[in-house]
Amino acid sequence: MIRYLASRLLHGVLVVVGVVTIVFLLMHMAGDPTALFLPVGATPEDFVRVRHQLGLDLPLHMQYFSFMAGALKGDFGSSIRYSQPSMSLVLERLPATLSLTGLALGLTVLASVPLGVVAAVRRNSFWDTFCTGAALAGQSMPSFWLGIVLILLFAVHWRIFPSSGGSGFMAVVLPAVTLGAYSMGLATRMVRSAVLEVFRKDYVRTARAKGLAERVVLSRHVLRNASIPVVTVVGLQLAQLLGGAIVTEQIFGYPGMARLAVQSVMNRDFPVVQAFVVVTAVIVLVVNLLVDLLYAKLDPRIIYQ
Amino acid sequence: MRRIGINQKAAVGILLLLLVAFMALLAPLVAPHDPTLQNTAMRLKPPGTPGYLLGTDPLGRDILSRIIYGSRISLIVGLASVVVAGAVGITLGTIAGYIGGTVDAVIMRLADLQLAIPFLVLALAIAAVLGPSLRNVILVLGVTGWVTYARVARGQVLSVRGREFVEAARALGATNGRIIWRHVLPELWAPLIVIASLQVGSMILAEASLSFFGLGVPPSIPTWGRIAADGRDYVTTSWWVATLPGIAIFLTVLGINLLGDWLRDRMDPTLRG
Repeated sequence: MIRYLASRLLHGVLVVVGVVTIVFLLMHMAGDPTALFLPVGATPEDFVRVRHQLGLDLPLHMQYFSFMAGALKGDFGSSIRYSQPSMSLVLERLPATLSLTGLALGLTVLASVPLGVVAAVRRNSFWDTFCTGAALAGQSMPSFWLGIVLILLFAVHWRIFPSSGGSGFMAVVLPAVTLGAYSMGLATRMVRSAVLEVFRKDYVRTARAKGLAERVVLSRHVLRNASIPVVTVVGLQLAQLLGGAIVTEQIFGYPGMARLAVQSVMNRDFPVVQAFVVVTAVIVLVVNLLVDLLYAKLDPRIIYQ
Repeated sequence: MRRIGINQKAAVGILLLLLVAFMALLAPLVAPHDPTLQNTAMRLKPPGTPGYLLGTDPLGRDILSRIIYGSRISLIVGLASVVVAGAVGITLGTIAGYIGGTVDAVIMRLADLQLAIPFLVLALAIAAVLGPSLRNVILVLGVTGWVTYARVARGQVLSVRGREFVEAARALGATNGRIIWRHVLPELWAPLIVIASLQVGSMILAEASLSFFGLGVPPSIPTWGRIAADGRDYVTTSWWVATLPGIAIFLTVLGINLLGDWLRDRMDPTLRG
């Protein structure tokens, strides 16, 4: 187990190094950012001086090594727009994004498990059509559109939730529903097919044959075994949710790191974009590891070596 | 219909997609106005205004015509980016599975790397660097979407590689290229077509998001994401500009997903839900 963890962590570090490399190359492709640091009307001498300060006059591999050395210490340079360390700008907004994606993930599980189970248990009934239809709709909606529609209905028309900004739980609800819609759809369909799959298993027939109540069969035998593929999908969805937060946070003016990243892309504030991409990648890697560890909890047959 | 096994859902999907394809192909004939024609006297007219069935945008352009023309971009981007993703993914996956060793390790680590960065994050970052153009959007979405194809192709190649018919081909002196082309790839089509059909929908959604942020196709070309973005500042007063293109996207992606589900049930019974 410890060896497994160590190798996973080593692998994770290598992936992060790779992500930092990609991010460095992207910035290099974006061109020389010197002009962005200079006021209007700067002289060519200023240009040379700032370029030297930024280390952009060094050969590419030297720039890469110094970038990597900084990155490993969490230093991605200063934001061009805010003149603050870009990593701390991103980290300041991380909790807001985590509570948004966390709530979206929570809603995904809360909605998809009952909907998926009902659809599977009442297969080919009205409820099945209803649940799978809702799931398919969730997967087919553009999230910016769903966000706008929810704002129009719940914030402008009925005034139940704030439309943008604000703080506290009420301000997160609409963004979280918007963000989670796609994952809810995907997970509902996943739960449905996982439950149907387990229904076909011999041990379920045995459980029924020995006279267990259907409720007990469902909770003791079906749900537990169906949970493994569901955990996989839900775990993988976190990466999608972090990506989707880009759209949701922008629509709702939500003060998270994804909105900062979009604004930084628009302002060509690449140090902030780099810090954001790396933070996102680290979260995804950590969650993937947690999901794998959760398997072993859910299924005692899985032993990591 | 029953004879070829089309169910109701697939029929709805096909109908929706035929409608979109019809709009895209015949746009100049069916659009009532020039989609780029500005008319400040007619700005932000609501749906139902005579001559403007779905109303107008802040520059007085006809929204119906813009949605009709926008279908072209959505379909082109959706299909072309899946072709790019598929071509990159199948090539790399097949090479990884067939050659193995270091090459395999490098390609699969590259896939891990890609999966650690959420799709939209990477697409946004690359789009920002490359700048807005139709070709760039297709490239960005294609390059960020290759991993699934590579994984499936690699897995399939690994399972086929040791089978008798491949051994036999090799014994007969077939080259690696011929073995891959004639014996390995044909085994791949069924799962890959299913993945591709479902991915077209995600690509259309991603393009709409990028265009919504102004990072997709240049502003001069009407796209569904762009039309919605034009209406963002007027959501509370003129809801139709931002919401109607979203319905077009929703119906198109729904059609694709319905059809993709049907294809999956037909071609890959093990995945049936």
